[in-house]
Amino acid sequence: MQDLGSSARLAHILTALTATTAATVVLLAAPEPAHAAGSATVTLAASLPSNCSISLSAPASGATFTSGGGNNTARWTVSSSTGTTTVGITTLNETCNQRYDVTIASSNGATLLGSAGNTDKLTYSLVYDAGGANTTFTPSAGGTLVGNNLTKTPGGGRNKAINLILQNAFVTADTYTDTLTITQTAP
Amino acid sequence: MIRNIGGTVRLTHVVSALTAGTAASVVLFGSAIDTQAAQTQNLTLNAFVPQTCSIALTAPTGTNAATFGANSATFTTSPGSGTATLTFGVATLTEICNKKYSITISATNGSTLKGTAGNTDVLPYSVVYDASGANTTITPSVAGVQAATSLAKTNGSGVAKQIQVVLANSFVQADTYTDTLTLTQTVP
Repeated sequence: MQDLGSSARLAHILTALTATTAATVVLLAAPEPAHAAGSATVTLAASLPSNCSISLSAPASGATFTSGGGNNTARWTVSSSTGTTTVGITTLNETCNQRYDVTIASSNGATLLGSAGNTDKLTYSLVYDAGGANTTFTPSAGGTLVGNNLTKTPGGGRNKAINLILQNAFVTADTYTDTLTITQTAP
Repeated sequence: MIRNIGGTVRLTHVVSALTAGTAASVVLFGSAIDTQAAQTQNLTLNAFVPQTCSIALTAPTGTNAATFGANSATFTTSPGSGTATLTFGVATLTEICNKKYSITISATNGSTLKGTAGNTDVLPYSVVYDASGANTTITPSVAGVQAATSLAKTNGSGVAKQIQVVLANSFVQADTYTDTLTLTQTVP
């Protein structure tokens, strides 16, 4: 028999069932039951593959965000040399049709490093889901679990603000860099 | 029982089974939820720290400190007192910079203190930069003389350096003798 569209296929099945003299249609996921002669049992179960993804976009305010070729960059100007400064660095959209985890790793272990020859550095922490769960943590090189067993999202996903809290210091004029890797895993 | 196979093929197979026999048991079910590779995004953080450099003058410290106010240093000499030179602290220079920098000092009258109109007497002098540190003696020109080059980045509150003038002591007409120093911090 040729392949049919899903609706047409199901209609076709039901038509076939009603054409028999004694047809029983049961929709269940139980093991196959015993049947009387001339009866039919249909158990339907749909297979829904895991559909999970994350994406980064500009923060609501804060850093200048650029994206292209799979590379995302958040750039901002440090305007103080004392205290701490909070900077929005990105908006993380999480989409997943099952429970999932989110881990964030930092190449330099929560440290922004200057160009070659400059030994100054700037340390920072991150806030995951600022305004929501508001989870403050210091990302390690190996990765820090920031969202554990999160529930299935709506189809459009959930947006979460990621903020950076910079420990200001009087450091050499330079551009200080680190790379975050954000990973979503669905068990 | 129809075994579980691929989606489209499965349903076709079910229909075939239903139409082929009067007594059929059909079970359609899918495999367990597919696993999916971990999703990752990289984000490069670039924190730009701009150049932050400044200098400021305040009152000098130490002996023979001039009276300092509004970037003006006033001191009283004792002409012809027998000593060859007189040294006065004229200012404390605080230098702040988050990268290497240089300091240049120029003098409007070319290291000469001049009296009021009609008075032709002059008092030449030299300047000591960082009197209690590098202790660099210069004779500022009108165009400027570099007092220090490629100085290291300071801390956030800066580095304080004493600026002194050393007068050639001579018996000049009673008057107020003046020159203006311009101190300039430059960053390559």
